Amino acid sequence: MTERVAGSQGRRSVEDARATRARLLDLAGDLFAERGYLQTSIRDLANHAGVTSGAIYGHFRNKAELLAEAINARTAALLEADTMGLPRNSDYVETLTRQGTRAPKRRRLRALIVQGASAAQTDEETRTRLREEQRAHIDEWVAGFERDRERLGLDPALDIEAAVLFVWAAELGLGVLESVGIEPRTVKSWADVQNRFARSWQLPPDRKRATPKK
Amino acid sequence: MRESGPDSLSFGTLAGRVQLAGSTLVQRFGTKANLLRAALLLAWDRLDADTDRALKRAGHGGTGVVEMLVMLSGQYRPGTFADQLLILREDLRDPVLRARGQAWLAMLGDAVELRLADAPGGSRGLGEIVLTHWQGTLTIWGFRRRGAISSQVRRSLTDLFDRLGISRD
Repeated sequence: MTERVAGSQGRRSVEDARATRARLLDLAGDLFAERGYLQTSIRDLANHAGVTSGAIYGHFRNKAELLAEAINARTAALLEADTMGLPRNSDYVETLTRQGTRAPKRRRLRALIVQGASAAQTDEETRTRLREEQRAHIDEWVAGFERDRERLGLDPALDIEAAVLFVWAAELGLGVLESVGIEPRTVKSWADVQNRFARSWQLPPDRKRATPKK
Repeated sequence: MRESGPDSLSFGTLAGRVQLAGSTLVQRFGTKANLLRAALLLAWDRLDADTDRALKRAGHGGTGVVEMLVMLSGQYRPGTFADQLLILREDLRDPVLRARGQAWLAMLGDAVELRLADAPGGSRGLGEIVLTHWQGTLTIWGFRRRGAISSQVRRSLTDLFDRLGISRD
């Protein structure tokens, strides 16, 4: 009985710790995006979260780790669920076009990454953490397209890593323009551009017919 | 600021570098916020001067746009790229600096559209697309630091024009 109670308490404390960590990530993401990464200290975050700075360091090694984890969580929630991760039966042209129409929902994610990019210019720890975080997502997206290259009808000559970076550049560049208050003309125009990029990766119809089956 | 970020800038550290008393700098600028703003306005003046030169030297068409943005991507003077991101970020908090950022990007957008006037379907809206792509390429390069920034920008913009069916001439 005692063991069962201890086991239940242990699970609960793990769940509590996970919930606290998720709440801190969410709050840190909001504060870094709104006030600026360099302008937000661990103490500011602790005050907003109603915890001690020590409690935050119990979950995260430093502010750079907190930023990288906040970006990682939002990228997974807003892009990979939506999805750059490409489920097996998806039409990637439709997916990328839809992501274009949903660009306004990712505004805070973009602001966070732009904040991180600026801090990375002068802070080696932030640069290292964000480079690893970005690398992991880009590798996953590239692997998804490589795996399904034939099914998706992608041009065999297409450099998939370059194509993924191409789409990602548009997302991050939008974040830079938004940081000074410049918005895309319309959501539709943004989606149209994404659609054109995505279609340009495919084999032209005449070459599709000529491609021999393996 | 370029070496270690705006937060590390203080009257004390600056006084040591320029061999003036900290009190002299305090008398001149009053607060750290004023000092930061003055430094960022100077960075904007330099970037505007660089932009003016790039606009005058760059030719017409897609090739002219690529040349113009490569010139502004920091290959001539180390630190210019960092300046761009630093000053754009600081604009978030200061309306005066934010307005400089908006004016700079609007001017560049117009310069892009002027050079792409012969694009199929017209050039309206292309300035925003090109600048978005350029700034994103710079941001990714900042994380990866792979290869020369000028080659990355050239390749990325050339690819963009090819995919949008825009002639480079």
